[in-house]
Amino acid sequence: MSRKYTRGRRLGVLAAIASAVSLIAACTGGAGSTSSNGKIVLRVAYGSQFVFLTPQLAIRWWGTVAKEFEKAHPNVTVQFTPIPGSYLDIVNKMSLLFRTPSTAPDVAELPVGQLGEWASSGFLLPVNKYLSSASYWSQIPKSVQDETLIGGKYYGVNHGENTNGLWYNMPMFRKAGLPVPWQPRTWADVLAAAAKIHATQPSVTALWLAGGSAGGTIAIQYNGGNLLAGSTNPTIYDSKTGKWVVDSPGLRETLQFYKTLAQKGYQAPLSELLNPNSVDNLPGLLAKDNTAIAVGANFYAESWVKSTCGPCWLAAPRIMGATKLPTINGQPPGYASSLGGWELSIGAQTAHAQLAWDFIQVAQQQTNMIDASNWGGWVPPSSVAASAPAFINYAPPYQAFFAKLLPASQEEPNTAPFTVWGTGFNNATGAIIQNPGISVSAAVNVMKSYITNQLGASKVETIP
Amino acid sequence: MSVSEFMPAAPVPVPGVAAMSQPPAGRRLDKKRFSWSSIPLLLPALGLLAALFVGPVIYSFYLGFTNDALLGPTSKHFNFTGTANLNRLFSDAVFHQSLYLTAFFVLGSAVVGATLVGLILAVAMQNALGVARVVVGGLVVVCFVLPPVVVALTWYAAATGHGTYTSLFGMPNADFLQSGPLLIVSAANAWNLTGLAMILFAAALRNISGEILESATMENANGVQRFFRITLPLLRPTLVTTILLMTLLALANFTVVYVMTAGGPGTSTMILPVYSYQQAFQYDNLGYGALIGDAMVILATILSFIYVRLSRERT
Amino acid sequence: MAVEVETLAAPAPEIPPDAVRVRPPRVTSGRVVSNVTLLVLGVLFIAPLVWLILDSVDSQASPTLQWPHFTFRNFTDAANSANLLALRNSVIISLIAALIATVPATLAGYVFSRRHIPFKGPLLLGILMLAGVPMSILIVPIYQLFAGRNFLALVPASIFLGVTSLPFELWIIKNFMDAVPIELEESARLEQASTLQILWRLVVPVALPGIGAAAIFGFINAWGNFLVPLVLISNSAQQPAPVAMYGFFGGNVIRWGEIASYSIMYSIPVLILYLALSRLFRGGFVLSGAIRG
Repeated sequence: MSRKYTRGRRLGVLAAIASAVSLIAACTGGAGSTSSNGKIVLRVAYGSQFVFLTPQLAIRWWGTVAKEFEKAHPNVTVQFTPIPGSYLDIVNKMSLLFRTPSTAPDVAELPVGQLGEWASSGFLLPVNKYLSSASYWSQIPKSVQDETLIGGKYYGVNHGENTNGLWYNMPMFRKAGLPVPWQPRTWADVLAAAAKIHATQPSVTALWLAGGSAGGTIAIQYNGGNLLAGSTNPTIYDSKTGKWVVDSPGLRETLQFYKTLAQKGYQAPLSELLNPNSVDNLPGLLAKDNTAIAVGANFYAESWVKSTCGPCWLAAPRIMGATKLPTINGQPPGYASSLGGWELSIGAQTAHAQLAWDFIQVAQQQTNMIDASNWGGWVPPSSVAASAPAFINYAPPYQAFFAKLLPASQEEPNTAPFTVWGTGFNNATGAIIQNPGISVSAAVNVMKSYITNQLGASKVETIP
Repeated sequence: MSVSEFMPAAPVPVPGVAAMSQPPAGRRLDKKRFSWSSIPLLLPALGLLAALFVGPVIYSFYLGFTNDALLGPTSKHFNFTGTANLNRLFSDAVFHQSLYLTAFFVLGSAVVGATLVGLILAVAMQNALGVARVVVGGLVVVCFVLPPVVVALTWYAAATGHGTYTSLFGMPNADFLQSGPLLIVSAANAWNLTGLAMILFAAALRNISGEILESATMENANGVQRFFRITLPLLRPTLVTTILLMTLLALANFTVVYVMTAGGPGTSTMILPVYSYQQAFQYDNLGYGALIGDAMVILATILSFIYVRLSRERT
Repeated sequence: MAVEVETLAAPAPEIPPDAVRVRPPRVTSGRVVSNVTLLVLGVLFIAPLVWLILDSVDSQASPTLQWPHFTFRNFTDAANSANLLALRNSVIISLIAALIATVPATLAGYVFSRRHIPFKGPLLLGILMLAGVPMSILIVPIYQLFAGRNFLALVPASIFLGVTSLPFELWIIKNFMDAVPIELEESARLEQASTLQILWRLVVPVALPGIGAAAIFGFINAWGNFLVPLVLISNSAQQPAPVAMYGFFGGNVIRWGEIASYSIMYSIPVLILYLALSRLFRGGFVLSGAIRG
């Protein structure tokens, strides 16, 4: 054996050891290990940046809940898994956490939006048997409770809700000779008001309604979804046939509404509407005082107060009014609003189901529920909490108003294909916004062909 | 095993100076023979690649033929579905559009954009004022080292209403990102990558022997002729290298496009990496998303193969 | 005796002795064209950055280009302890990743360049192919691999990031080493120098520009990555800057001023690294080329 060969061999051994050591060293950085001092570890996962109005408020709220819980249960430590990033990142990271038993959380804050998928994955524990001990449960309207009801089982409890209406700029209305307070009864009323604004103050945006695919399917509940809910056929998923509606009079009415806005010049500049953060930018845009009417959500009210400052607009109550978005012909229930929000669930593989439930009870306790709603930009699901002064007076006069919209708000389907349907819908509204000249039929075709392509012809239907 | 065993028997010679103080011994260097001492040198790289890269890639290839989902009934227990995903791929209009978009994106931003602009910059720098060289060169390199998220955000701001470019071209109310999305994201990507191309070309240009260029000037060849007849052919290996590097980097570039447009409006910027991400993480179809990713790997392989062939043809 | 070197993308180890410092006459059409070209391109390149700089000192920052209401608050707000921690994490992650990629790539690149191994061609092609694999299809298998072994932390995630840069780095370094003349080593071998000696004392110093370029590439690759730390790191105190950046896109609020200022802070370490390394080897980088005229 030559000397070089021996050296080479030793080199090889060293190299192999070095590689192995680096991998083993990584072991020491592992998270999620069990507590060493004998306490039970309760894993709680939540969105750290996207869910509450600011990340600091999220840390504050969860910290308070954890402290209260640990005080009542001295043998338990709460271990948080905060998930950064936007809505999609939260959903993806949560599903990865649940997929692997060693990282599955005991308590998770999940969006209502895809609950059907979560339930069918087998990741969540039904909580039916615990509900009788929840004093707030009966205070939640049935339609809101149904957000977590799938196949006869409840997979979580509602944490906070979003409702939507019409925001309007009162000084601009007075200048145009429109009534303040404003209560339109039909879509025609809304468009007539927009026409008057456009005639008297052409430099402002008459009616702000976002669309297009940049904001994702999560944005639909804040813009076009509300209109669809108020149209002749609000149905998105036909549960009788098991098919997704890709063409209906209601859809056409909604798209026609978009087209009117675009053609008559009522709509906002394209860069605002087609912006990925259009929904989040609106509070700031409204504060700039050049938008007359906007279809928007309840959380703008909480954005303008001093604790959030997104942006600070303490003058808002004197300038912005809020009213219900009417149904197209004023048909019952007289107004339309999409419903969305967040809920708290228990992991199916948890070893501490009762503790997890106890944690949720602390989180849902009235003070905490109201704080969550104020800091998260929600309406509390419990009607008692929604009428409590701590909530009402946080951002008057809007809180009371948006809470009233809760009972008749409509939830969007929470199953997997909704993201596909939503993308198709967004493509259609985006097409009209960018190119008002196209016909409503052409826009419907954009939606129809995309959804049929992705889901298959047997899963879609047209309502005549 | 002690340190002294790693010391050579004789002092290591200074580069370029051959000290032939002993008769040749040991292996013959003219014969191609496999040497066992190659193994420890290869082991760290190949070991890491095998454990953390090749394994997952193979698993992803397998996933492409299953109905695995991130959420839903087939997330915990998924099955092998044979050619079902493949059939879907072949009939998927969005996938076909994605292929064209990716081709345009890669050609536009990598080949034409970054490589061409990088070459122009490198050539222009040969002849320009020192100040211009330093400032512009430094600037372009800054754009290269910027992280993708920052690139996406600054370009988003620059190309939309009242942004830098729209104001610069005198159309402040226009929204370039909406009217020409693929063009804008390609430009953003090219802007990001040009710095690297410029560096590579500048290095290669420095090595072109001044003597050849001088003699060409003596024979009354003007600048343009000198460039096309002498410089460019000598740059050919670098050109091929750079184009391939830019191509692979553009193919891998997911963040810039995703943050700027998320594949939209509609599907007008749905390049393959974004489509794969959308299918896997927005629609939760892990299996189908993996298959699209596999298509990307095949595309990259074909391009690499072409490169290897091209670089073998040495003039 | 001038060494004739076939360069692919590598600088010569020394300036060929017959290279002449060509001093062109003061003003020629060539010079004018060059300078104008540089000017135009320079303006086009800096345009987006102007917004970034202006917005970072604007108290009413927005995505539009506007003259700022000057303030330094954006910087002080963005530089809170959590975000600075994230910057520190970014530095650690990128250093580890660059190390994990560059050292094995140098060793292996040497073998691919110099030695004979069976199936070298296909192996190289296979490695090149890996360079084109998108991150999104790797992320789920890697997550499951790491989660099962409790590796969901900063160091394993950094190692993975390094490995994703390995193919490119190997290829860059191999090409640079191809340009190093084999005669250098032959004399050393005759002196009974070991492989490690040859590598460390002869080849690496000469191929250093290429290795440096590859290392910078690996660092930058890890520095800008958002997806991997988001998925593979569960402890929020270990998250790097790109993830912290998302904190400025709150659920309903976008703080453009802080985004701009944080972006600038986030870009500075990479710039410093680049400048530092570009002084180190004067062969192949245009900035130093400018100094040499």
